[in-house]
Amino acid sequence: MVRVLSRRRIFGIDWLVFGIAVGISLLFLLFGRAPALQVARQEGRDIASFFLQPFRFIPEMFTLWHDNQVLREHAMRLAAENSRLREAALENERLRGMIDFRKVASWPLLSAEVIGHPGPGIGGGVILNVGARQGVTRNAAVISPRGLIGKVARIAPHTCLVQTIRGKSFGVSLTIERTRVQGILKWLEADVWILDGVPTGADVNLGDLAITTGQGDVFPAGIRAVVVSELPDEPREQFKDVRVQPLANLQTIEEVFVIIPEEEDAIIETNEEGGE
Amino acid sequence: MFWLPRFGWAVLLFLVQLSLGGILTIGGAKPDLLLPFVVYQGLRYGAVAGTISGMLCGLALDMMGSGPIGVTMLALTIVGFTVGKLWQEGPFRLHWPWATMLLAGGLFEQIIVFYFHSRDIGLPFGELFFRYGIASAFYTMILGIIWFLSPLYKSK
Repeated sequence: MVRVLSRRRIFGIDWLVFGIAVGISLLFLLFGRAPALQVARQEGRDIASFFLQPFRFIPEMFTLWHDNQVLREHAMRLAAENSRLREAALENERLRGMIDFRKVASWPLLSAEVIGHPGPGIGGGVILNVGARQGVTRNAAVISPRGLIGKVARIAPHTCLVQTIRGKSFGVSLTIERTRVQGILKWLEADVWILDGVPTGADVNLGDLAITTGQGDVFPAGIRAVVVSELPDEPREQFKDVRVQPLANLQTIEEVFVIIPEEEDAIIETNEEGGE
Repeated sequence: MFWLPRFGWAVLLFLVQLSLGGILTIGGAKPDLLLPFVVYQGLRYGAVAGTISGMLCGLALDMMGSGPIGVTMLALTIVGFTVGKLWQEGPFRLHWPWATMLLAGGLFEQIIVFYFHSRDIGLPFGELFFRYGIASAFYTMILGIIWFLSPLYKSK
């Protein structure tokens, strides 16, 4: 007993190291939001992204076969859709010219690759291999060919952290493409999303596609986001919780597009950030 | 230079954790590949090695994440130290120290991480921990058993 409680046991080198380590951890917790640490964090992500490049083939191998199947199906569908759209585009152009409509500008897209999945599984963050140097700005929308992914939460010179729609950080205003019924996309838990605020009598069916409305200045209008997967048996008094599923598979995303703002917006955004 | 192979393992696991994190996630449960490393350091080399490994691995994970810096660092530091201390000086011997320590360490880490994470995303801590934290800890333990079975058997 005496030996166990001896001075050497209590104040050994292991306790000293432990105390220092806990102290450093607590200091980081207290001052973790300091600008200098955030800069160090961004630089750290940049360095890690360089070393992550050789590891990219591992997730790619897992998703390659599946992606191939999906892309084949897409190619078939798109070929059919393309011919229909070609006709529609010609008709649309003709009609626009007739009524002197403004030409709608397409989104400037920047292609990017997912190089990391940090944080807990439910956190919904991914690291991309593009950053401020490539023109990415905070809150820029991130999409994949299949649908909406999320928005840029933090930027480093060569990387950025994307907060996906898998999380409670933000909601997205969506509208049902078929009936223009609007609602807010909210994440509830793993693999469960709802379209909140849809009135009880609204015309919403299983399989309906929801697209962004463009409200809020983050996500441009018209991005395909989710599909209605389940309708409530017993709706609430005024609203019904429409369950939806994202079109993009958020766990296996590899290649995405960042919608970069127009040049003037980008300059304003960069100045506000105080960055490059 | 005896620490060089250990450092290499830690870096490798860290990179695998970052690159495979998305694929390994099942229903919100995500394993922590660096936790088995920290527990191994504690069991094999003692409390000091466990503490330092936990601190550095935790810091690296925190730097890559979006949550507060220091959370995983604190959790893994305590896990590494406790494992080393219990194994070296504890009054009892466990039948399956690797699996038991891994599970206990995993649960402790998830409690700390989800406590701070729940404050960030505005969900109740209990719901998050019981739904994802426990599953993540078991998931980590299972991967850890597969992964470190042979080296631990040789060492102890």
